[in-house]
Amino acid sequence: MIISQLIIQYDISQQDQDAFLINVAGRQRMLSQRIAKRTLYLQNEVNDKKHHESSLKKLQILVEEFEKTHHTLQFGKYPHRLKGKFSPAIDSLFDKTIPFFQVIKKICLQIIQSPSKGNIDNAVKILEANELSFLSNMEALLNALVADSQQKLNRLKWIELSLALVAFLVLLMEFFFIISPLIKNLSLTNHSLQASNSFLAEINQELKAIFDSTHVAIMRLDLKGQFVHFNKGAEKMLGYRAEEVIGKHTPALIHLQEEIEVYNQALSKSLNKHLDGFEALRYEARLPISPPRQWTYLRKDGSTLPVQLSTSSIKDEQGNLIGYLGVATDISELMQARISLLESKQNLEILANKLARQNEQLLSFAHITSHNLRSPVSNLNSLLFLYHDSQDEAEKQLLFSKFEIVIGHLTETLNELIETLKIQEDTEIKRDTIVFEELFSKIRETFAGTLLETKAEVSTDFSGLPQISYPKTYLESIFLNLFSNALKYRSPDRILLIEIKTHKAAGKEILRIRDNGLGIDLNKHGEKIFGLRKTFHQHAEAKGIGLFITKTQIEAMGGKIEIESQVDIGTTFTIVFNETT
Amino acid sequence: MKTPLIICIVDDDEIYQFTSTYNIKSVYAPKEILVFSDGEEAIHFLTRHLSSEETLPDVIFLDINMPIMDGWQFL
Repeated sequence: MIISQLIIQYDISQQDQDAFLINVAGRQRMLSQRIAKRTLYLQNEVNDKKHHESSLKKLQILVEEFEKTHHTLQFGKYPHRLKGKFSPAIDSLFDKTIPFFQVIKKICLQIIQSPSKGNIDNAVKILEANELSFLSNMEALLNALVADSQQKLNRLKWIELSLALVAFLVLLMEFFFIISPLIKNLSLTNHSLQASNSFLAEINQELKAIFDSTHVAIMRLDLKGQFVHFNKGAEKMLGYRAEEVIGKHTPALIHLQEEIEVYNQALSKSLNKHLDGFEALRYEARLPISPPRQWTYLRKDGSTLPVQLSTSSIKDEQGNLIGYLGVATDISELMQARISLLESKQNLEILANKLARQNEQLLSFAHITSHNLRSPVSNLNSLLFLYHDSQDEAEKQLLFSKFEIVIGHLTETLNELIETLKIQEDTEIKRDTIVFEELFSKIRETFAGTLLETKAEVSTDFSGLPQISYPKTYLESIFLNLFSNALKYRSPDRILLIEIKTHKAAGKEILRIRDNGLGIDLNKHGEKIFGLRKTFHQHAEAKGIGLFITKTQIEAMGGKIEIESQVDIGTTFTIVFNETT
Repeated sequence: MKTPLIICIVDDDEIYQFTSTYNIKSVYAPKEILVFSDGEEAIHFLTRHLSSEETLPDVIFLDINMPIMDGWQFL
């Protein structure tokens, strides 16, 4: 572009020079005419001296100028020289004018030197002929110059045109290589924009579907804590319509005040700063990871439901907080399931305990059967064998009486076993409220004779636990057994003292019976004290059944019995009625 | 060991005492059969007669499961 401009500039300056030269040449032609005219004036003014001299002077100036101009054209400095500047044709045209110029100049100089009438007349004649030739030659020269100039102009036009063409081509190339890829890119960008637009629309639809989900409550809050969105799920869950809460209420509407306070206090303590209102919830929503938390929500109709709430903060592109999002799920079914699970777990534990207890009892029962039933049966077998073997009638009589004893034992043992089995089956037996004082006065009446006879002293203290809910028959049996044991195994060396006391400790209902009787060596008998058919005293009334039944009854009702004893000092039975329940 | 033997039965079951005594007598004529109802009685007898060797039993049939003093405690 710059080059083309330079070329044009150059051509324009050339054009200027050409125009100048054409002008000069034209002037030369004009000068020749004026010279011819002036010589004609001189011829006519021969007699008018005054005009003649001034014309002569004017002719002299004209000739000087004519010569000077010619000189410039022929030898002058560039760019005012004509010769050699253009084509050889122009040069030869110019050369043709030179002889005429020489003649004109010479004639004129002659006149100026000697302006006689003869000279002037002669000069006029010569000038007429030469001037015409000069003129025609100059005319031809001028025409050639103009034609040349025209040609140059055409060339310039052509250059300009081609330059314009080049410029156009450059523009075209620019278009193809720069602009059209740009456009292409633009259209591509546009296309992908459209694609991402439709993708966004799709996502938006999905989000809307999620947002409109009726199983989950989605609530958005602004920075003031007021509802901005309240989806269909929230409407369904809480019974409010979106228009009722948006821009009008905060979550205080649906939260239980007490729960929020409890939570605030807990969080205030751990953060060591005071939080109020919904500060705690907001604090949690701002955490990068906030754990879902369980809350109780309040419905419009005043009923409540448990929910699991996840909170998070909403930020704009610059990361500035612009709101909060809460997603709440109704977990009442879950909670119900959990409760029933817990219940069934507890039931199972109770059942397992019961089964373990029954298992234990069955084990001891098996042991009892194996020992207490096997020996009488084997005795019967032996007796039967002897009976068959015996020939002596008297002996047979004796053996038969032994049969009676064994059968009596067997019946007794079976009856006792049936009784304990009844207790073990009977865990759901009805409980009554029993006042210890009343129960004990009955027992005292039962043993009135023995008490009188032994002069035993009995002290009772039921103030710590005046009454209990327990099967009446069991409690009577327990009292009877323990009380009769105390009476039975009294020491002959001292007056019997019996202390009976009930109290409650750490929710447990406890009965304690203490005596100052014979006592039992627990190191020897500790494990067997509550076993069936275990007796530890060579005592006529000892059958070894009482404590076994007592223990079975207490354990069937979820309690336990313990013994402390020292030989010849006394025995203490401690019963915890509600050990496992 | 002297013959005939002194035999001792320690068992709380009186029928067993009776049948075993009867059985022993039907197959063998011992010098004497001692019968005790539990370990404690038997121990008392033994400690009382420690000095007179000829009255101590040669064979003892001992029941394990007995009230007051069982077979293990006796041993």
